[in-house]
Amino acid sequence: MILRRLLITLLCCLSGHTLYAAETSRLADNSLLSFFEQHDSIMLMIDPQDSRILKANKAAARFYGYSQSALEKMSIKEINTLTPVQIEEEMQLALSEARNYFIFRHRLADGEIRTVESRTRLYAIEGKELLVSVIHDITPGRDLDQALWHYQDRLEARVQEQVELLDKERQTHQQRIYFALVLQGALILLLALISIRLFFLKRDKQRLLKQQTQTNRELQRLNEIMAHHFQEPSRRLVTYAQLLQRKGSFDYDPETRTALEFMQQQSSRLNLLVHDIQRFLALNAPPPKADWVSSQEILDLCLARFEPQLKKCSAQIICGSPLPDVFFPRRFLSLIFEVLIENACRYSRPQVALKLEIQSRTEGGWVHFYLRDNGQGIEADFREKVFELFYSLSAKTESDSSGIGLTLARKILALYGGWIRINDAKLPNEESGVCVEFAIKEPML
Amino acid sequence: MRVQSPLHLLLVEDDPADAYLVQLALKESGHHLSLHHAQDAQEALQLLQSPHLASERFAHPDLILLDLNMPRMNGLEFLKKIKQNSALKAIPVVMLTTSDAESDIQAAYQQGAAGYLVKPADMDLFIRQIKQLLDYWALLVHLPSAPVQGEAS
Repeated sequence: MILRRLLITLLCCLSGHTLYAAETSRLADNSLLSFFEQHDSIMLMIDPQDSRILKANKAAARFYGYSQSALEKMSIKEINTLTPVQIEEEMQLALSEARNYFIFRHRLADGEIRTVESRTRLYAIEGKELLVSVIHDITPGRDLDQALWHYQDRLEARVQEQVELLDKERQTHQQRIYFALVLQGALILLLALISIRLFFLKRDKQRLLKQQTQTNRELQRLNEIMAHHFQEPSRRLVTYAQLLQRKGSFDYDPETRTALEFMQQQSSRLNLLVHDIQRFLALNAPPPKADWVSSQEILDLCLARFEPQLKKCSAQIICGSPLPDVFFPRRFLSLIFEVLIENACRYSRPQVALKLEIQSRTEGGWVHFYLRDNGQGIEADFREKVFELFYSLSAKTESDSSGIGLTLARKILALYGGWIRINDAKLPNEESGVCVEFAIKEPML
Repeated sequence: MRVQSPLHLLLVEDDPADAYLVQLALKESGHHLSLHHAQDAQEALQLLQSPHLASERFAHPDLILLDLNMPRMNGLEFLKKIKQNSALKAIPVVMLTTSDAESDIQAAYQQGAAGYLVKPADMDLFIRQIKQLLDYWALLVHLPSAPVQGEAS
């Protein structure tokens, strides 16, 4: 009964065909399978689940060039040359054109491609759904209208090209997406690693900062101890040695007097050292803010303060045009001038009146100060060394220098972006001497 | 010639070596002085707050010379207590110390010090500084008080 229904359906599929009326009555008497087998129309039964060809008739075997048994082991996909996308497109096209058939390209056993019209329906046969396709080879018609088929071929080739292009683009796009995803993942990983590293660095920085603060506090405390505890006894030693000398009690005893002089000399040196070390350590504290100050006024005050020493060297101070105002802490500028004037006096030549020329020049955002003297001078090899801590050019017994002054001056200037150096630009007509040059940066307006 | 009354000084200094030098400098300044030496800040505070322990003039000195670094109560703490006490805050206090640290100088003036003298090593210079200091304060102390408004005849 089912097969009967099937055959009637098949006849319906062939509607419009000339076989329809004659065959309907004849087949009623023949075996239904025989009808399927013997019919000249190419027919295939296909499993819609996996596209396997379940049954092929003799006409199909003749058309495709495979034996029936070979066909029944094949899938329709092995015959149909269209890709699944193209098949889908054709189905959409047939639907839009209200066609009940599809046009496919089927490959024969000898590799020839034929254009076929496939009328396919879904039927439930013995409880199983099967696709029954009746195939009409429409390729022969090509000879009748070469231009149309040429156009069709071109169109199909174009569609094929576009599909391939689209496939390729889709693949490229997918590859790009994969690459972007991998890159994004790598970046996220990198960022995570950087964040972790930053976290540890920040923690280390905070720890180091804490340690530095603690060290600074200890240095500050040491500085205070230097100020109060060391300086006091050293000062008292000097004063008391002076008092003893003033008394003149030991004048009659040369040895005692010499010993007393040494005591006073050493206590003075100790006092100077403690004082300079304290000044040096004080630079570790936050530096004072700069302000506009008159360098001429500060120099004049320093010269007045050093009047006794300058007088002792019979000093002649040569000043050019007035020194300019600079943006620098007053106390520190004063300290720099003190160090340089003190050094000029200390290293003046015996029996030669000290000449000290003080000039300035403003150029390129810097104010340069030049202090030239006719003193003992410094050999080229030692001009940098004298800026080292505790470096002195004269024996300690001969000098009241602590060896800190120039180090202090350089450190102060460096705190505010400035610098100091020594060159051999001697005063005219003088056989020796030095030129100390230091520069202070002008503030950005 | 009018003989001026002596300048009453209170020296607060814990170190006897320094106290001796200050007394020597005061003596050599040539000023007419009466001096009381307190061994530390606590003793000085006791003296100022309990006049019966000392003569009246030392309970109200014209000037206090104060060391900075002292045991138990340092000079700055003492200065703070003086300036918080309404009966004592008018007494001028001059710091007399070895420290020339900027922080100490600023702290002293913030607490209300009337002056800050860094003791030099050179005795002659120290004597000169002490003399100048006393010249100034003697002049101030012995100036006639300005009449209070409304009391002038």
